[in-house]
Amino acid sequence: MKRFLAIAILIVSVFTFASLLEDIQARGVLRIGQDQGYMPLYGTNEKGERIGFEVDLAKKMAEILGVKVEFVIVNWDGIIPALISGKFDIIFSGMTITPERALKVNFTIPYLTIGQTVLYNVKKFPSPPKYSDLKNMDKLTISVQLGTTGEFAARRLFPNAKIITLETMDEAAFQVATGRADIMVVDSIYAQYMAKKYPQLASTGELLTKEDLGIAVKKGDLEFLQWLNTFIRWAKTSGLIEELKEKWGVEAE
Amino acid sequence: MSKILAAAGVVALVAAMYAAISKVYPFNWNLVVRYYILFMKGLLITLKVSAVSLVISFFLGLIFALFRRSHFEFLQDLGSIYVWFFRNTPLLVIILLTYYGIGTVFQMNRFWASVIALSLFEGAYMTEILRSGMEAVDKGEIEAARSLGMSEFQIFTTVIFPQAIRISLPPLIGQMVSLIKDSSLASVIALEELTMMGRQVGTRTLASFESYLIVAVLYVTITSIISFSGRIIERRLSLP
Amino acid sequence: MNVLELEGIRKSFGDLEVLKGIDLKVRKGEILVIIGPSGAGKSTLLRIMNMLETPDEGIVTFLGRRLDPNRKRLVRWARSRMGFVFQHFNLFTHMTALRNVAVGLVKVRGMGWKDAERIAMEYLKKVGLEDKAYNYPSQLSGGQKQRVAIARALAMEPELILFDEPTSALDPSLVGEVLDVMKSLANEGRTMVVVTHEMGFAKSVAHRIVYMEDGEIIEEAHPDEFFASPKSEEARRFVGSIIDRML
Repeated sequence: MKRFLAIAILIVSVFTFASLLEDIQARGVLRIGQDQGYMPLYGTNEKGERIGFEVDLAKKMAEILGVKVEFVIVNWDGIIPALISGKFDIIFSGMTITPERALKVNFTIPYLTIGQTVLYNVKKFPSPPKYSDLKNMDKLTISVQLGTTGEFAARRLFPNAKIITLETMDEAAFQVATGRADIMVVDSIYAQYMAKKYPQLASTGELLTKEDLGIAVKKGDLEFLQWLNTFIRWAKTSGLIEELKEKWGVEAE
Repeated sequence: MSKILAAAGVVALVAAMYAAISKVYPFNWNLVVRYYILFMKGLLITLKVSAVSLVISFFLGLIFALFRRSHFEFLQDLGSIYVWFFRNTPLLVIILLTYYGIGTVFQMNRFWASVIALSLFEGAYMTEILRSGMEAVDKGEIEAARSLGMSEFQIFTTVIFPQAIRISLPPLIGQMVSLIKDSSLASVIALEELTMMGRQVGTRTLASFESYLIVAVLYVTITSIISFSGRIIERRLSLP
Repeated sequence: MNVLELEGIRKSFGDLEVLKGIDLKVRKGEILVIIGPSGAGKSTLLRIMNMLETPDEGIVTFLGRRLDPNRKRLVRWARSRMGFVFQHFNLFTHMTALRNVAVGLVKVRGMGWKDAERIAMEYLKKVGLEDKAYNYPSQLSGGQKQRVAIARALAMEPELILFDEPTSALDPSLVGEVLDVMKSLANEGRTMVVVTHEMGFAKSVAHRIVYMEDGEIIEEAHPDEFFASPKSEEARRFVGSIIDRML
């Protein structure tokens, strides 16, 4: 019984070891996993179309591969299991490269470097609060998106605060906008975007961490990983990334 | 004898599945067991929310059951509308409506928003359970109580309610179990109950499978204890 | 002295007219037995006496007070001074026999449970069931249940006891024990109105037979008169049909 199971698994794994690259070209669709929204990197417009910095980059990828692009939306806290179970080909969703996550997935080289910052409500803080003030504040309530490096940074940097974890970035920001949370710890790009869009929200701009964003793929597919890295390096040197950064107002490295 | 065999069979099956899954997904219990305090905290909140909601929903059920049985058409309609609305709206929507809607007007915190949403929702089911229980009481006994000269209130407390409770007890216990399970939906407004804790630990350790398995086992344990206790209470209360 | 007076009682259920103008007086100490074919309106008449049903027309007077369905407290007072024994016993199934008998005293007379149960025990003795005091109705036979029901009615020390076919739901072997209790009550001089098919009982115990058919009182007479020589056509037919079984 054990031997049969082992052989069966071996056969299955041999098949999964064929590179995704060929699969994608064969089926004609590149499937991208993302969560609901993280503007200006990705999100949905009023017409229901997917838009954003990463969306444009992904479309370029698909163009080069000669396939169509399909966005599979999942909850952030389930996005890695979804990749591993094959619901899509890559995670291209503003994901920070961390060694813990690298135990489960393979990351490409970074395509953007950002940092966590503080998003706050101007009604609560008339002037931008500094980390040194916030850290020791009594009864600080921080909203974050569940499972993000923002959550982890908040827990690490604000050990005395009450941390509220919401499913999406927008919901977490909403807590701050309605005064149910004092601040949100989130990627600087998102914070700037929200601050520009909503008058009651503002970003301190003080970077609490420095993080690389990368694309995640299933482990063991070195061929596909190598192609993705090539794409990213080219996108950087060719100026495509700079162009898109300008288009979407992304201020990051 | 057959029960022991069946139990052994189930255990063997689960063990076999676990072994098979382990070959593809290496279980890493250490990562998760470390967070047992968070799970316990979550469990406590789940029990708190459930307990308070249970009491409130029971009273709502009692009140609206009486409304539905009232002679006043206005009260009858009120009762019917309440039951109709809350039995036809998903609990998730009610939670969101309560917290983000009314909750913003009244500055409700997560705990009370969850309690109110859960109580209103489960209260509608309680209403129907209690109402059926009351209807099931023999009309003849009510006439006998009337013939003795008892007031309608006395008839309710002496004859109807004690019997209705006995009759309703099994479905009421079932409703309690549902309530505890339904409370998991409060995680969507980030209430730190058991399911939310499972999600937090799962994302922090990236061992979501193990984390949710633990959460599931905890829920099953609690609900089983409640069902079992319910059966004991039923037996105690039953009449010879 | 008239314990109960009914004047011009009419009652319909939907289109069906069940009582077509009933006049009846019950004197203190009198034992009235109401007989007649099924559907005559006998039970309805009895239930109107303690206002379990309200008449469409007509006046019910109890102990000199006119019973108005809108005056709830008056109606409750009247009921507490009347006993009602049902065909299907209607004991409170979640209470012991003792509690069944005592509960009226506690809830309606405001007594404490201890005193009420003491009195209840006396009445259970009276109907011969003191050893079943702590049993539940489900543990009693039909005859025993009915005797407890009678004790329950008696405990309130009513001025008038109403019996709605008290033995119709009983096994023939159990009828006797209930009729014996009723006979002993009659011997005590209680005022009773009994709707029954037990002609033997009617003949031996009643002071007056009231024969009803189709919502009207056809004939009223002393039982000896009634059974030996009924005056009306209908009564004669009725007595004729049952005379063989009575002997």
